[in-house]
Amino acid sequence: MPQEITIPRLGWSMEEATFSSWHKSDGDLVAAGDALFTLESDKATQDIDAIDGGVLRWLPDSPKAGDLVRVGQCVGYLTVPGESWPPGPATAAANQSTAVTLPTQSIVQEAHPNSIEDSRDATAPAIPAAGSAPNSQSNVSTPTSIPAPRISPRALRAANDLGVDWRGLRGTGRTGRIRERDVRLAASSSSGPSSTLRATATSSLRQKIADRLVASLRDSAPVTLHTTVDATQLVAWRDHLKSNPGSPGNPTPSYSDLLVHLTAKALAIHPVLNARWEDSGLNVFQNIHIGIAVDTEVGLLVPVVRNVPSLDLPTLARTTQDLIQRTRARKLAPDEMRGGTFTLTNLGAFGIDAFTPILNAPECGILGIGRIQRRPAVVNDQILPRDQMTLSLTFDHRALDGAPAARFLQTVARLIETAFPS
Amino acid sequence: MPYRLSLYRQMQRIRLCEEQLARCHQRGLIHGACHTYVGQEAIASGICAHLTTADVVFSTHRGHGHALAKGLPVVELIAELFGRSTGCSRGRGGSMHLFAPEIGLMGTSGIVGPCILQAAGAGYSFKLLRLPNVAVAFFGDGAVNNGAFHEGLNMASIWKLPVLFVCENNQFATEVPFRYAAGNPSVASRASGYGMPGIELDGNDVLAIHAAAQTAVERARSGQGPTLIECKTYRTRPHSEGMGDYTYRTREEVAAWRERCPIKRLRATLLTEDPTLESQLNAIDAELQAEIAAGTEAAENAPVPETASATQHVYHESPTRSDLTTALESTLRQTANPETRAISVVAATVEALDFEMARQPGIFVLGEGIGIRGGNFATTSGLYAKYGADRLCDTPICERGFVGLGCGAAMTGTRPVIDFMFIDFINDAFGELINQIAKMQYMSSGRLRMPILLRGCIGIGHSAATHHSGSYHSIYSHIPGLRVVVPSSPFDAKGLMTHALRCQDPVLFLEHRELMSTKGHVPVEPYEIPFGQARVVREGTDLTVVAIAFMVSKSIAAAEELERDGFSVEIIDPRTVSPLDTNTILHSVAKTGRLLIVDEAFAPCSLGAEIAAQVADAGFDDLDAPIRRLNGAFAPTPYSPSLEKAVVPHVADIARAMRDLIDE
Repeated sequence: MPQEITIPRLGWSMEEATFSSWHKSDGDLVAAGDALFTLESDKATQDIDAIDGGVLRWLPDSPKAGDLVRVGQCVGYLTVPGESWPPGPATAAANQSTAVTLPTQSIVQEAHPNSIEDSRDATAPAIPAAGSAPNSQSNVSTPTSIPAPRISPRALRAANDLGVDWRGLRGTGRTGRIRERDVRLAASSSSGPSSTLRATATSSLRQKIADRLVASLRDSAPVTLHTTVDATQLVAWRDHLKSNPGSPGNPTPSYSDLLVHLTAKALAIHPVLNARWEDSGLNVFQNIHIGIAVDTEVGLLVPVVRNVPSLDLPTLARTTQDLIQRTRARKLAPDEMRGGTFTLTNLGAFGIDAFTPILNAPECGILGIGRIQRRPAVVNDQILPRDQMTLSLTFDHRALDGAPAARFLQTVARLIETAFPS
Repeated sequence: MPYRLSLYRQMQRIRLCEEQLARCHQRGLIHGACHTYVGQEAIASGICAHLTTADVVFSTHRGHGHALAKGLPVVELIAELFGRSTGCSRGRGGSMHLFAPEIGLMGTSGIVGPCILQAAGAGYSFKLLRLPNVAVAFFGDGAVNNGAFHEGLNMASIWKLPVLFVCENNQFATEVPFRYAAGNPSVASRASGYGMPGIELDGNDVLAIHAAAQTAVERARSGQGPTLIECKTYRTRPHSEGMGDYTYRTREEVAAWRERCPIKRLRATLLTEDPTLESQLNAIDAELQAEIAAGTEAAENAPVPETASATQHVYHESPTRSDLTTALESTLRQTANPETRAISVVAATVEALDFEMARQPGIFVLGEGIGIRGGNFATTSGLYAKYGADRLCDTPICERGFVGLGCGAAMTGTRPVIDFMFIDFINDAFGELINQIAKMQYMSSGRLRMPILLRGCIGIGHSAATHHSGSYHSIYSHIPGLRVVVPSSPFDAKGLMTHALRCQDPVLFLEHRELMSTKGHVPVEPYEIPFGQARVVREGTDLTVVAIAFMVSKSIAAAEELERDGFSVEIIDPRTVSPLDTNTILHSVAKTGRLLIVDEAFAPCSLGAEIAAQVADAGFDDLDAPIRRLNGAFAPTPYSPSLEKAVVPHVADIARAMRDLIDE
């Protein structure tokens, strides 16, 4: 018999909680004691461990990150390996009637194009139950609904032939069904049979990134401005910080840290760039939360540094270092990639001078950082070696016009050029 | 032996055998029904005394006596009722379905009425083939109030067929008294309604029957036509062994009729004339007792049929293609560019029919207006002048009648082609088609062939409305024993028609009316397209569409539309619905992963349902999407153009269904 996984009560009085994330995917083998998922109640965030081992089985309406869940709600099953799944209609229906969708769910999802907050979505596509309308938002199953097949027989055979783990694939069928083409695409993007699992994960995240970037381009009016600034003082500042480390354990701030720090100052002066174009319209924020684009094995992720103006440089450096490390280890909580008001993306390390960043929708600005290079410059009619860098600001022309954006970029340039007066 | 002793012997054989069968029924050796002929022996004996093995008998559910009188060995009858492989129907028939075509026993039947039509059909064969044979239909009083009686006697009369219609009026149709069921209680008098002689006889007087039959048989053999003979008699055992007998009649009545026993009566007559015959008659009795005892023992010891043979003989087995066929086909193959011209579907079928009628003198066409007129759709255009009225035979409007007649003709050596104009009309003959034609080869364990072609228009269009628009190929395909052909092009129509006219099985040849005048290139030479070979009409990689009849050209148009959007659609025309070429469909689905079946006919229990089931079974792992069907609306066909348009799939509907499935 499949064993129910239910939402436990945390503390005395919890009746409902926000489902943060799954730690295991549908079909994963779970050992007793493994963390299954994370719950966020009013008072605490807690990992829920498996009491028994088994194969994790999600329901068609198993909660996603951000869903409101009730104590006692069945969110999945543990089955004995080899046990048939899904169960008969009666079992399924009896346990699927209580899921409630958080009203803001769709907004939350849209706000984080590059995040992995929806781990369920990243590994297994949600499929409406058979017979339900394609766009139905209802998570309340009718008693007769039976989980629809999520992969076509032909695709399943192809997955077996090609050694592709289809459970992580995103189906492109109209109802989300995995089709043969999805399996073949995943197989062709894999470097070989030995890296199947990793390649599969990559391809699903890749799909998500792709969708969100395309959505950003489709739904915004991006314009990119370039300017080259003298970064000699910035380099001097960094060198100074390197040679004068603060209290032990504090990392030396990176160029990115310095630029996050200076960008926050510029955003305080030009709040029109510290904004999000949301369903309700343009929202300009007082708090400055800057996302940092982080390149990881599985793709681009954007952790958010909160309230940047309130952080001194050492704290900022510690914060970003921790965020980046955990991002690369994929140990970031979904919330830590939410709620940014502006994003910084740095390709300087790769020798890139200028590029055209794509907005991290619904944010209205993203600053691209080019490499710092010592080049000849004309200073007081003399040619002198100076550290120079190019900034690339993409802004959403729906939210603001070229002049205010240019003024913001001028401010950033001035702050960089005067960062560390000798 | 003098004929009167022979008659005695025959009647006594029947009587003793029936009494033995009644005992065996009580012993549990007989598995199903057992309808005995006790009390009626004079009729079969008196009539069959005039028949040769080339003459044929069509009988009823109460047919043991006819079988024995026609020459069936006792042991084959008993073994059949015991369900043994040595039974006359090889264990396929039992009491009600006795077949021995070798001796002219063309079958007893569990359905009341068809034997009358089949005997007329045999008579038609004999007339067409100019054979001196006669056909006899034995039937009870229950059959004379059935339409088959009216239709059969009328056709036999207008065509002067060599048939004896012998009514054994035993006064009860099962348990319903004839005096209750008949408006005119004289069966014989009805003959005048059909313009033939009608004779009423004492059915227990074998000598009277023998004499009357002689006249009737001579009349038939000499081409003067049929005779109706009514023999008033009584069965003195229950309708079927084991059934109660005294709810609808009295013990006294039965006892009185037992006293009028035809055997006792003949014996008394013979002994009155010549008392010295007693020892001879006793010797006959003893000899028959021994024969029946030996027959029973042999039947009991006979093997039961092998279970593996249970599905044998549904169709004619090991079909042999004629040398002519092979030669013609190799001619076509060797000619890189055989001479062709663009002709219509109808013209292509006429060409095939004409060629085969010239080769096969047994082919004749039955239908309304197919003679001088040349057919409502010109399906026999020009043939009447070449082949005459006997081979292009206009019929009264009696579909059941001439389908039943066609069945009897096909059983006796000719090849009827029945032209319905609109196939909707065949529904009036459904019983003849399903219960008789489809089952005849099986029931006779492959000893009879059923080369009959039934053709007619299917399809919706031109406001023909509901009685001239049906497509029922799915229904016929459900029935074992039938072949169902649905051509979609002139080329296919000619090749399939040729094959149908050489095939030994019953073929439904269904031509979509909206395709009848469609032209296409057709070779001048004859050629065959075997059944069960689908045609890949159009190759493609994204989606397999199985389309039938008019839906083929519509699907091609839809596929061309999709091609402009970059989708590649493969179209398969099964050409024959039974047998169905699932291999070609499976092969295509293995390539495309997607299957749409487009058929104008209704969806429930349809060709599409069958294909879907087979592909879901054998091609499950090939499927990348659910199997879809697109059918006509589940409604009778309406008249008004706006309504008619709403019940049939159009190119746009097909294109939409194709796109939906590709997106799935």
